[in-house]
Amino acid sequence: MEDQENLDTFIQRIHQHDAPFYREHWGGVQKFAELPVVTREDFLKTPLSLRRYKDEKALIKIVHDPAGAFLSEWSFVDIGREAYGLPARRPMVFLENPHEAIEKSMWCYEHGMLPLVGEKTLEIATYAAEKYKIDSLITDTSSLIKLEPYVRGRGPLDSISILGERFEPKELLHFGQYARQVRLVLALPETGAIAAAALAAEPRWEALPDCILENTETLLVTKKRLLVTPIVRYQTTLPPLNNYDGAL
Amino acid sequence: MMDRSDFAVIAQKTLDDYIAAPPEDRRTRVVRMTSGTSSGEPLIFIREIAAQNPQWFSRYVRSLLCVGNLPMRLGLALVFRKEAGARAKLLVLDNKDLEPSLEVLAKDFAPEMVMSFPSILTRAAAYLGGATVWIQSAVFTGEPLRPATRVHLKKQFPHAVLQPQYMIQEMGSVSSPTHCPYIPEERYHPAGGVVLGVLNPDEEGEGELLVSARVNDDIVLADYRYGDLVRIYREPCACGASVSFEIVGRKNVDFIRFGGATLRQEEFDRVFAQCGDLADEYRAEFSIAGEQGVITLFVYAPTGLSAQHEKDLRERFSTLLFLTPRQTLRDLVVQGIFAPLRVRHVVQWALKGYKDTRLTFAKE
Repeated sequence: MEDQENLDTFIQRIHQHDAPFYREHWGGVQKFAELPVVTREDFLKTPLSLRRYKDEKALIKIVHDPAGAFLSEWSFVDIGREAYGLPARRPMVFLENPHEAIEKSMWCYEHGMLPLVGEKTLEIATYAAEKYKIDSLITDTSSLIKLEPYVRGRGPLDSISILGERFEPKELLHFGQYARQVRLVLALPETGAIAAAALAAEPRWEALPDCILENTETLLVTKKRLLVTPIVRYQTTLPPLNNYDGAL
Repeated sequence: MMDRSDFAVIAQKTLDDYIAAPPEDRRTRVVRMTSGTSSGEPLIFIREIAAQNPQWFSRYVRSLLCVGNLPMRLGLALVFRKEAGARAKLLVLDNKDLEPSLEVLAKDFAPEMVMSFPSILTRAAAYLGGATVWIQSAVFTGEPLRPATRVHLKKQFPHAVLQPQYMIQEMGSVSSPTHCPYIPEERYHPAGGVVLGVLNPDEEGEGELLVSARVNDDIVLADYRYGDLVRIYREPCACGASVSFEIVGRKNVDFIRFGGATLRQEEFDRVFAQCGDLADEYRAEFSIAGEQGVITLFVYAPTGLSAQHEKDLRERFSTLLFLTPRQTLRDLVVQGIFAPLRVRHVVQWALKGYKDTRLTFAKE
């Protein structure tokens, strides 16, 4: 009940904000469950300046999509609130997308960690990882596969967080031997982290705090925190999550 | 005097110390990396986030960053995070973002300042569309801002004050944060606490740059032989500074030193300008074979390169290319210091990488 009240207050706050994006998109609808879904296409056609709901020191990313590109702004504080990685002494951020690599490195700083950001050239990234004696990895599937010779040839890491939009868990299972903890983090550039699961053949996904997931034909995501561009009933192209009951 | 091998010891110590006993506030540090392109393996080290130049970001709300590798981008983004105002925004561009869709995004973002490599900004300008006119300040690092590029960028960014900075990975800014209006555009004043010297200056005072500075408790540079060619002017400036300097060449970018000779890109450019009837583009590669220097000239001519044109190119470069103040390539070939010039025709033309670099050092 209290959750529902908080959600109503949150929706009301967005309705009343100067930024027109959601107000125009929602029309007069006030109830969360009845709000029209918002899609990436809406972000693509709406300038960031019309969907900026708070004005803090921030990093802006360019999100590329086959249909075009759009800006996604994240305040440094909000970046720190996402659940991208786990506490570590010497994390390495090794991601295919340079915007994501800078953002996830900032996430480390927001948590008092000094990250090594991996260069695109694998040899240099591996050399730096050895020199820095990394103890954890924040990565994505394709980068982790590239890094496999390195992780295989050293002692186990404390943790590997694999970020992505889709996973083939069975193909990743063998990475379980290279770290004490391997987790999958479902994340989109514009939504941040959505759900996490321990690496398993059939991962048991759990929605991350402040996330509401609705299993429809595709996964609908709501973040209960006010982000620069809030995420409210955001229709992803991701399939519904198995093992997640979809309850609000 | 310190050289790269001395700095390698310091770099390793910063890592060892950090791993053994990380400081309480790790957010003030950054893992940096030298490229390793000029002399062997990259150096990984930990230093404080550069904070000498808060003016870069603090005066503007919307900043754009277009620089080289990820550690450098992160390092400068951290300077932004530390120094920019409470509502400031930073967009960090990648090469992959340089596509037509950027124009609309740049209009939406409306950047007021940009920090970039000159060559990257030259390319990016083509995709920034009308947003270029909103930029009030363009800070350059990573490469020298050549006169022709300066003129071009001034046209592209008509309202921007162009501010070249001289930075080295080992310490951050060597030059002062803003350009002094009383000295020529190609000169800098040193940043506070930085002392400069010249190794083996010639009769015009030009020689290898030596940098002395206390970066922090862990990194102290004393006559650090960075390698770039510099000319230092010790004369009072109207702004109150007593020293200014001019970088006349970047090591293994603008010049290569071998056997008493100095290979300079501008000298290659000068000679190639006299070969316009033979080829359209060139790139020169220097290598060492045994004890001899070898220059290979890769040229592009749309209609191909005849044997006669190849011979003419070899002849002109040998007689016109000065590798010391008084000696040409031919003179040094006669002395056995250099092998005769090699000329190769390339069918498709593209400069390596994104830098406006035509003279490179092939290590093998």
